[in-house]
Amino acid sequence: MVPGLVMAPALRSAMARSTHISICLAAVAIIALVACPKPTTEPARPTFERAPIRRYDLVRRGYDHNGFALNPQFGWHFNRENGCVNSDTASNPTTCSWRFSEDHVPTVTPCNTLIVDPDFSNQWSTWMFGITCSDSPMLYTGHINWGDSYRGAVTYEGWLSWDEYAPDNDYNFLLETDAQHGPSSESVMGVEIDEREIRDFSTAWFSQLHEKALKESTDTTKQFVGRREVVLTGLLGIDAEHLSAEVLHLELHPVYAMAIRTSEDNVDTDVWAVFARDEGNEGFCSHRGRDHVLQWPNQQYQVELPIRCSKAKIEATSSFCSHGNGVPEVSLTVDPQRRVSLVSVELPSGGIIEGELQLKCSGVASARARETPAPPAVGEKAKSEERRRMERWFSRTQKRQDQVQQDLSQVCRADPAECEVYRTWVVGGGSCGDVRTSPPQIESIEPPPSEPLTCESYLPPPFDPNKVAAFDASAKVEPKKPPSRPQTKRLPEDDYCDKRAKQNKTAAAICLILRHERQ
Amino acid sequence: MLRFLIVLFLALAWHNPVFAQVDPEERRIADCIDRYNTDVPFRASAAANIPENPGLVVLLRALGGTSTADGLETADPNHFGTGGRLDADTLITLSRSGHTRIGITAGLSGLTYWVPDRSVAYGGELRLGIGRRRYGVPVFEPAFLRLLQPSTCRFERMDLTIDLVRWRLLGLTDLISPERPKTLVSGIGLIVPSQRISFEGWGWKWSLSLLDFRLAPSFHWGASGSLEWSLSALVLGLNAGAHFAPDLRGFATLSAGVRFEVLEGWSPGS
Repeated sequence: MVPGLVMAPALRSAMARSTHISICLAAVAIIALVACPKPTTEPARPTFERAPIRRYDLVRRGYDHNGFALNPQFGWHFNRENGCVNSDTASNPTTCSWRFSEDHVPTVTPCNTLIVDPDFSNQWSTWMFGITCSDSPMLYTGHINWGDSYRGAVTYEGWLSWDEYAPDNDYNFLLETDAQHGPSSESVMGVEIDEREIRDFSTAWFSQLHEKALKESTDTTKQFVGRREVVLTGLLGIDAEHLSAEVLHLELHPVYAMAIRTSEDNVDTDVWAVFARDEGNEGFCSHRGRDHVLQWPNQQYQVELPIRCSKAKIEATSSFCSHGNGVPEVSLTVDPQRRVSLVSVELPSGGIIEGELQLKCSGVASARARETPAPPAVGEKAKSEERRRMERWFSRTQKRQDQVQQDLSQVCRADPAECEVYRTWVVGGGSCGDVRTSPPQIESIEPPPSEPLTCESYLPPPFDPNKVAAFDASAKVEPKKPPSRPQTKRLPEDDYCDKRAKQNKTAAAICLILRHERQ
Repeated sequence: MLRFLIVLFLALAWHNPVFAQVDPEERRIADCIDRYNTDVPFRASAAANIPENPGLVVLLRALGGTSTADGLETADPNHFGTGGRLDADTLITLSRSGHTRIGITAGLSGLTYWVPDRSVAYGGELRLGIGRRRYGVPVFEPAFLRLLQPSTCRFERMDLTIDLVRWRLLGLTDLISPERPKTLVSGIGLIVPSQRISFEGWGWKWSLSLLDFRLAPSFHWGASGSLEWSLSALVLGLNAGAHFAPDLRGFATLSAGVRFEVLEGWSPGS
């Protein structure tokens, strides 16, 4: 025997292991070969002429003072209005290809030039069992947003009315716009704000809304909100869980800033309730715990508000409260010639500001008085069968919430003191943090310039800081990526339950009811 | 078995995709959904491999395992048995939204199981329940599934079923006793969830039955779970469980067979 061929036990063992591994690998390879699909040949993809503006591009009608697209319209609407030859004028969102990434090669007409952002549900009931957010004929399990490509927000001017207090804790409003201000002729879009994110507002209008939405009927809240003039800045998206050929289900969600005229028409004092922030979530059918964060240019929010009272002398007063990070700074400017006012807020990152602006008119009637435009006559016609189906679902879940309220009131009868602690903790008493304000200025306010667009404009850039007068061009001109924030926000309920449930039986019962409600 | 299912559940939960603000995986899924919606040849090719709404799912299997097929008929756990089973299941769609269907599920099975020199059983099972069938792009793809079948855009069909009742009726012949007496064994399973996910060329299924009762000739209670793995028409399965009352014992059967999806299921508007 050749000594070199005698295998040491360790070597034999190693070879045996190696054989075992080889057999295992072979088995895995066979299974993989059987399991792998046959290579498929990719179908030949047609090429497209470059269309100037795609049907679901957002085409701005101007800029707001922050540099966001103002009252943008859909590409198909722009193409129709301007009679753009050889351009896409079809409005069906189901027959074009939505581009979510730059390398996506569409096989049919693209819907959009700049990519849109998905925000799909990652609820376990969606990804594990497909039983929530999963009924869209288009299969999208959440939202399609005109997001980063449009710097994360757009601004619309229109009329706001109440829709409902939704089971996912959202205040749902409807925004009606006329042909000159909406994405298409006379459109209605949803406006959704998570009640938990703004519940401790102390401004009269917001706290009354909070009381009515949570404690009173939908009709009472509808009556309270009425149809009010509003300027909203938010993330424009499609609640694609309900997307179909007939219904786009457009919404501003989250809303980053709202200015709503709470005074009636034809009075001597205009009152605007205002809030602004830089983050918010997108509700149940979205990525749980993901807050969309908006980078306000230079950390500044600006909104131009029309002065509706008609007398010549204008006096501006305001009261603002802050929540969240830092101390915001507010300044007001009034332009008696253009009959507009400009609210400017230096908003620290993570800060929230809310408050009220009063513009008191006195003296003789102004020759430049602005007429209050009438809201468009759209309203209920936008409610489709699909929406009614959703309402039926909402009404079922509303009953569940009513049951929770009943359970809570039963517990509270036995121990009202603890319930007061709970109420103060969770509902909040309308806290009011510091805000720096400077005296109102009377000076001219230049509207942000915007050149007219034509069919040959192609898709105009959504934001050009050099074209925005109020924007400091010497500062950072490159749009910044939103800063990352902790993704999971703790609710006041969680803090209450952590601190009180082990100390007090009533608190434990309240937390049990809340836990059942969430399940 | 229960522990295994808990581990499986936790593993799936752990794989819950966590996206950043918008991450490439979320964009990939969105692009895939768009491809599904707009690329007709691509969709047709997938539909040829995964029928969207099969009328009848037929499964023929050989069984081998502990002394009884479901642990409920005899009290002798020490012998091995073999048998065969034929299942046929359908979904009768009541409502449809896009590619999602909800309806009534119905199933019928024939079963035989033989424990040499001990017993032989013949019988069947009737299943009635509710089901939801969703066809399209999966919103969840664990990494190990992509390892088995790499793909940047795949389709799936998910059949989620809750059998409200599973009623078994078996004739059991005792081969030990010289008289070979026959006993009628009747059993019922209540609220049995199951989920089958079908991909192109392969798929898997689980089910869990916690309320499994033998009603005659005497009352017993057990619980069981099953897992199934299919490659094309080939199906491998494991059914395991425990018998809690009146005595405690476990049971398990392995199965191998073939599975066919035939006919086109009816649904409103089709």
